[in-house]
Amino acid sequence: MQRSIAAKLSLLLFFWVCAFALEWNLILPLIGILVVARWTIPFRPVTDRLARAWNKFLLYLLLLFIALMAVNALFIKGGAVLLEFGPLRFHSEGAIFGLATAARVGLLSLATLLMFISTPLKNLVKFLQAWGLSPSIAMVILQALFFVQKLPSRIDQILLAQEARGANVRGNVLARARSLTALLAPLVLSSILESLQRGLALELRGALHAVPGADRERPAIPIEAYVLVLLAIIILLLRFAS
Amino acid sequence: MGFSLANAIKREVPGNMLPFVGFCIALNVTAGYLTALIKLPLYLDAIGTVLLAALCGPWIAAIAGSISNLLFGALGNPTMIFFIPTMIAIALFSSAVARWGWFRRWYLVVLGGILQGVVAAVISAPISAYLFSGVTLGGTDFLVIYFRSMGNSILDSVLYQGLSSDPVDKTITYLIVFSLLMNLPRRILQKFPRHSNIIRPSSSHADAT
Repeated sequence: MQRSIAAKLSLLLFFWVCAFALEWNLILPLIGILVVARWTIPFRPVTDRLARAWNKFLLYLLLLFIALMAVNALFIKGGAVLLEFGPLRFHSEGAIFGLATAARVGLLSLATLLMFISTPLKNLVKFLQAWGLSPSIAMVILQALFFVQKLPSRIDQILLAQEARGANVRGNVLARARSLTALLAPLVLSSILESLQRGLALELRGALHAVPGADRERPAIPIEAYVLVLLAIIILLLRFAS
Repeated sequence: MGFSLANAIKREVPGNMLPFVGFCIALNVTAGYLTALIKLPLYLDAIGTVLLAALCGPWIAAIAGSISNLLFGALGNPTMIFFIPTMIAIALFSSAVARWGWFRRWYLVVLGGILQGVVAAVISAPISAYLFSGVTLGGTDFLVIYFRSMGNSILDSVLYQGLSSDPVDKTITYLIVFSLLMNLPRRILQKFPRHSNIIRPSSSHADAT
């Protein structure tokens, strides 16, 4: 597990370098590779929810490509006119600029998302701890994950309770804005109290003075991780040289 | 003796406050879910950062804000990772605002929110312009298109869009934090290292308990 995390982080670095160093016509095939990679074993989403998030993001990305190309083709005037709707003229120079921007953002985003949907965050935190991440920061991230999982269900409970009391939580914008106050106060105040109690409980158990990563051996870095980092450096050097 | 981030954080948050920092991160992340749930045209993604900056200090708030954006990235919106500098600026500025005692008066909170919005807009404009060409499929994209149609450059258009929408968002964020702080019982507030940002020693802040 940890071996693959090191390789995945190197792959992420490689794709980030590619996004900034390569031209859009080289980036597009890399995006295709990432879209296909989601179906391979090392990059399979760890939960159904994350698989849905991935699919939703692909749709978002498609819209991003269309929007960036359309808006830039409309406002950056240069090159041939590709389309004409009444007074609106879409120019090729703007369309290519939009495509290049969308390709860069797409590669950066897809590589990051693929890394995270296929790696449980708790495993990532453990891996980083073995490589020197402060135990306090690790504790903060794990507590954040606990609350991230817990808060949505608590929000649903509070909204349902407010609705049962007659509050209009699904009306117009004003009603929804008012319901936000009715939602936030109980949500935040109860969670602050819970977080303080959790801190006290952890302190009493001595968890805050332990160094969880201290007895963990540093995992070996696989050879493919070194190769990917080397490739990233070569791409950067070639970019600067040209 | 030089400045050490690790020592600054240790001073700002005692060990038993770490779950509270985790909660503030979760609050930032969940705010996206929350605003989507009730379909409000706001971001409200810095409530936890501002709360932490007011109660604990700038450095832990900056770290929490950065982790929030990383978690946003991990949980479905990777573009948020690129706005970490904005979150750090929000943490530092809101901590200064709290230090000046502005979280004790609602009108100063409003002023702080407006200024915070301007700071956030100025910092996020180049990121949005150079990485996304100003189009992020958010509710404010039409403003960027409007400013571009008036002949402005991408950077100027994104900056004008930020200056017109961020102050509203940040003012609401500040008012929400102010309302939460005013509703916290005094005995709970006093557990936080920077409670003097909110209550004066001689103040008659009502204890809700």
